[in-house]
Amino acid sequence: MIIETQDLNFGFDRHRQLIKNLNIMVPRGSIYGFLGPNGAGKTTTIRLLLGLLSAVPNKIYLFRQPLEENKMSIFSRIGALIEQPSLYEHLSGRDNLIVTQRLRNIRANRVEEVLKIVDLHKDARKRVSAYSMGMKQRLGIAIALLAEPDLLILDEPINGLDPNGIIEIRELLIKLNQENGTSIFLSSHQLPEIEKLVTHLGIIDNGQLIFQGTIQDLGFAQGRHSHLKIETNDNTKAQILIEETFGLRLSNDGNYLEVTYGDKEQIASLCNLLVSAGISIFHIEKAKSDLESLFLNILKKA
Amino acid sequence: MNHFIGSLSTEFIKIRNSFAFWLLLLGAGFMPGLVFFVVMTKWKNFIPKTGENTWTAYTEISWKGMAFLYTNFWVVLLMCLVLNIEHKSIAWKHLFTLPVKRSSLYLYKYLTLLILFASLYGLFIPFWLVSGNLLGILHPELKMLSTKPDYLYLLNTCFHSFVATLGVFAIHFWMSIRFKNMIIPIGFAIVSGIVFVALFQGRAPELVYYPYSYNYLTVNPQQFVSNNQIGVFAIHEIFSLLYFAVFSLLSYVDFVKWFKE
Repeated sequence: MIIETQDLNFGFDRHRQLIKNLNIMVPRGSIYGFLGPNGAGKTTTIRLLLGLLSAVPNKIYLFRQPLEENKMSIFSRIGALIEQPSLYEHLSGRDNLIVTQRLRNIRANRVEEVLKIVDLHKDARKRVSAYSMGMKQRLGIAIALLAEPDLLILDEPINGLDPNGIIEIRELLIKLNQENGTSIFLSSHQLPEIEKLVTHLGIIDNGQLIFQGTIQDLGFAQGRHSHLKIETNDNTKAQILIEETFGLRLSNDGNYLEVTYGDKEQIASLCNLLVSAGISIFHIEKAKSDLESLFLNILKKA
Repeated sequence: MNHFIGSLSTEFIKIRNSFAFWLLLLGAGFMPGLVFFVVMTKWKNFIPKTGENTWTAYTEISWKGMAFLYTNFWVVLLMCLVLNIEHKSIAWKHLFTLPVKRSSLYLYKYLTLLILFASLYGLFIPFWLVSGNLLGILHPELKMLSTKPDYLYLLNTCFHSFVATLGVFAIHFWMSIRFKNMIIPIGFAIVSGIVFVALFQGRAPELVYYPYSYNYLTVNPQQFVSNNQIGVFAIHEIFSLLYFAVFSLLSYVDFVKWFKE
């Protein structure tokens, strides 16, 4: 695991715990999406992971080392972007990079490399105050990439970006992960975008981790929740037929039948069955069960 | 050593394009410019009598101007502007997640401010010399081209003025760290300036304990305040160094142990 927390708790006072028994497991080489509604504890968790908030010792491990005792060696392998990027707006993009490059004692030509990676080399001389939100976000990521980190920790990296900006950042992160093997831990509340990017997921609500697993686990969960809405000329007959043939449970609200199905082939078989039995299908719809609805389902259950 | 210099240089990069940079130039040029204007408008009053040197009067009014609150306020403003670069850019959280010790970040910032403060004098001297010589060209009757200023006195006063302001320097560095805004330190400096004027008007010997008076006492020693010397330093300059040591330690501990971004 590249990040591991063990029963991590945190609160600014004794009576109000913001993080409760958090056990995050981020495998090396993964893109881990850390999801949750606003105020769930995402940024607090990231601040704890980066030592900006003090946790009880030996609860946070990065690169299998306890954070408190190994901050300098751990930080030398991390690039981070916390909430909005920390940028000196009166300086150029290049100068912003040079500040971090010199403090981290990185070779000077790395500045030009990261400017190219994030496609800001043509705007490197402009003052950051003249940058768009997307350019600032990319510059923040460029700063995080300067040290060629093994782990990127990004807090809401696509926040405030337009659709083009989101696609650019998504492609960049996937490229970094696939080509350089960089592990990425990113938080977001933009669920549809996260779905296209991550290999692993953690969902936090009210300071507690309520789901954690791979995207395959998610696919399984999605499968369990996938269902069809069907309208026929005889819903009662159709219900009995489907239940007897497939052993599936249906709900019937009078207008529509709702059937939870296992795989795509079952949809075709189900249609054939109804048509063969002389039942007319007026409407058939695959109900959406993407990450967003799964996320909402999980939150509701929590 | 290269890494240290490279890291220190980042503080100077941050000052680029900021008002802190202009404050340095304006601060060093303002007083020579003001004194130049005063002498230009009343130049006949400054025509030297036999055996007199106009540079002496020029030096006196320049230094009194520099020492009466001006340098203190300049230091306070510099401190606020330079530290506000980080506060405004929300940059501390980024700096604290770099593999750089907090003590190093503190050192870079503190050294930079000390260098900038010393640069005030480094720039003041040439500005002052240029303004005096320009007066000599515009009004040859002042004989400022044919006479010379007391360079030793000039350098000596720069050094002692620097030492006498170190107490205020450290107090306001700590305040800028502690309060993370410009209003409280500047407000405190204004009140402290008013208190200084009140104490001065009341001829209070307690001025020797009051750091906001030290610059003026260095340039213009007063009979009602102790003028004891310890080595090359006046007693209030020793107190300034003590304030500097205590508040530097306080700001160091505050920054390294308790400071939250």
